[in-house]
Amino acid sequence: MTYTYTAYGLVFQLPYPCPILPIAPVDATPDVVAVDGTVPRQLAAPVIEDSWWQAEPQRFLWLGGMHTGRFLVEGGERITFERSSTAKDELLAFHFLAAVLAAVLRQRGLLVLHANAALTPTGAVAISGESGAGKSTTLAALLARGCAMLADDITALRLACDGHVEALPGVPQLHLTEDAAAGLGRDISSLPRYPWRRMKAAIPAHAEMAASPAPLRVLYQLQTHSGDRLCAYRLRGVEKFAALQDCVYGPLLPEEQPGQFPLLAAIAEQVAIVCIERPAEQWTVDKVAEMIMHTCVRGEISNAD
Amino acid sequence: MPIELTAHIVRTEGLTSESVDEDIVILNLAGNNYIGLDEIGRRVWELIEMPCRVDELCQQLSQEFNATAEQIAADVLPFLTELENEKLARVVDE
Repeated sequence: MTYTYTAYGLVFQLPYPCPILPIAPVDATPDVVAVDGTVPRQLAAPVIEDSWWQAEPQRFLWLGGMHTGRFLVEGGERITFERSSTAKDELLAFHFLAAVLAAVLRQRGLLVLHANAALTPTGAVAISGESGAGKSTTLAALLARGCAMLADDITALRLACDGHVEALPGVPQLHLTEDAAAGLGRDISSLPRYPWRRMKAAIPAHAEMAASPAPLRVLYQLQTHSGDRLCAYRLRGVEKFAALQDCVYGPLLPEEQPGQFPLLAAIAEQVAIVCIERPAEQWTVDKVAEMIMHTCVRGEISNAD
Repeated sequence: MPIELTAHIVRTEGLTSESVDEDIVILNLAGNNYIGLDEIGRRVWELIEMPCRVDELCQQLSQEFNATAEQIAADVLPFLTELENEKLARVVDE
């Protein structure tokens, strides 16, 4: 039996249920097919690798671990999955919806950012930053202000037919810690926590998802600083390119760079890139969210008092 | 090896680049990285599209940026050396 779902504008056919993903239309032709099978323990000639994965042109091998299994992603169209004997379903799903999905999107020519994305009244915004910077909390705060959700953790960008950069609706779930959820009035007491994600819970967000791709207007780079104020400034020129490079969800192989360069350049040209620096301690997500809304709606940066 | 004022230099052909605001970003496949050039670097990049003598390049830039040729040379020579090391430019015969 197979199950067909949709995410990032693609139709996925899977050999097991993945209930967090929206079900695809009955007559939809799969863009990506996942099958159970034998997966090699290593690639023949990996160009880049680390302890979790290997990559060569159009092939990505997720090595997983004792409690998952191995995934092989080929050509952005095929995923072969070999489950380990002690695999845990929630860990399998987590890796599939993260590194494996990102590999599919990269192989299909999309630019994948380690960022969240929301749809505001004036277009999409993406929020990048290091782990613990507050990306997901900020996304939840924007949703509380009436924005729709586009993506949590993996934002996929592409050039639309008319040349504008657009962000695609991803997986309808939001990951929050207990404190962050409580601060935003969300009850996650019944949801499991994930030790491999700093004890965050995956919160379904189907009702809050944007229905279609949206033009990307601003990329926010969320950072902490030693000061006591919240401040923001716009990046210019090559700084924008460097900021983009910092949040690419890689690996981006040398062979893929020429293909991605036009999209990176279009983003640098069309999209404002704003650095928001928040105090390391004593900060409120409300102020960050208000700053983002102010920037989006009024098109100007104002620093908080 | 440092580049001499009497050398002729030209940028490598076939490189992909894009303007980003006032700067220019060059895709350096050989180094698997991106090189960003600001205002002066960008102008140098434009001027070395065809082979040119380094001292004449410095003279041109001194007029455009209102600085002495010596001041320009102090900045441009290391910059050209860096471009050569990154294989983005090369010294050619006259």
